[in-house]
Amino acid sequence: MRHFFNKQTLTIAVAALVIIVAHYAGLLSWAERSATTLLNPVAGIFFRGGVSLESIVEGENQTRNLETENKRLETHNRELTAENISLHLLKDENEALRAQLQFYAKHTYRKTLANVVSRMSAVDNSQSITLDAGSADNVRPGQPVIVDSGILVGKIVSVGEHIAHACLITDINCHFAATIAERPGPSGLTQGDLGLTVRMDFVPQTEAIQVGDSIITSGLEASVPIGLFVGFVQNVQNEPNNLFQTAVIDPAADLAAVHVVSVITD
Amino acid sequence: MFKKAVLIIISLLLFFLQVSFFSAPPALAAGFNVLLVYSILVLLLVDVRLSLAYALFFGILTDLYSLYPFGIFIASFCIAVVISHIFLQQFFTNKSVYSFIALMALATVCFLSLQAALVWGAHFFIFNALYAPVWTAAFARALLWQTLGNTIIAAVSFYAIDYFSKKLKPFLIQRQQ
Repeated sequence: MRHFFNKQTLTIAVAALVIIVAHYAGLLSWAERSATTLLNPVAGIFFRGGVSLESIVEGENQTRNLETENKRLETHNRELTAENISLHLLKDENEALRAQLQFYAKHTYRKTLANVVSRMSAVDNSQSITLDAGSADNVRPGQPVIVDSGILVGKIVSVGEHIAHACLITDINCHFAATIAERPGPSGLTQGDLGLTVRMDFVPQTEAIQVGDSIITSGLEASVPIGLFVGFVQNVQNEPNNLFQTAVIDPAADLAAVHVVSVITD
Repeated sequence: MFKKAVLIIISLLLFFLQVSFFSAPPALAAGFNVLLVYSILVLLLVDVRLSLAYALFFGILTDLYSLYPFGIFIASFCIAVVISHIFLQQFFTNKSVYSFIALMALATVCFLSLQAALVWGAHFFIFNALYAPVWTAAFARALLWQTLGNTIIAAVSFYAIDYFSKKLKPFLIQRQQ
């Protein structure tokens, strides 16, 4: 034991402690900023390589099982559903708020495009992605992360100057206020389930919720606008003794293939 | 100088492979940790000082890309190397593939358990969460798969090094030049 704790190993242990303390004191922010600026482009290339590898493996299996076409149509269907929801909302708003032309300005979201540079599934089942955009690009905690024309992927949790961490909607700690697109009224709170699906809890028993319903964000959160597409209701868990019912949602976004995202910054 | 530059490039490539390339297909990332395998390989082939230096380097970089409070990966990597070194000195008498596999399994269990304990602490003391979903069946599965994955990589690396280098060959059967 004494042999182990020699001068050099103790120096490294002390260095580790100093680095951790210096990080929290903010003394290393310039070094971290420089490191992430240098590493992000290479990390992005490696991540895209990983996604391509996964796509190739997945593509081979799909060809064998005749699923490629189905997947393409499914993606297309989801995009159209997201677009339809957006148009549906615009139509409703047009009818209700025709006079208030300024309202439409709220739907021209300001977005920041970001590359995914890493994805982490940690020991607590948390699912997160790391983006190569940060506070310098107006990215702030709480802002939603989307793909395509408004399909929800996750939420920004923490931000550095050129880096941001976002939880995915399948993360147990990632919550969104959500509602049903087809019928205004029922609303609840989504959270990830086992890193695979999304649950919508706290839906009152009195509200009708059906398999196949489209779930969107309700706009009750400050940074999250209304109408971002979460997914389709796959299953409804309705216990007569409970005050609330729970819906299991199949996420609309293909979270395994996400490598370029947008953050709604305003 | 050239050797040091090559080693830094190799360690950076391993970092990118683990954190970016293998993390894209999530199942692959959960299966093994090449950074830990490399650190333990260095511990076995070179010395604890260099292994700890690598652990610190990998810990800092991984912490930069992690959602969790800075320091969790530094502590997990470094303490796993320290425990492995103590076991290597106290209980493993040679540099056989069995020693390496056992050491690798031990390091993986230490690394993941420490990481889980620190994440559990972070949930309670930093995120103020009422429930920390750490010690679950998913964790047990991850522990099992990563231990298995890391030991397989360790065994393959051992035989590859043994084939190309004399570092792992027993001293007595080395031919005198």
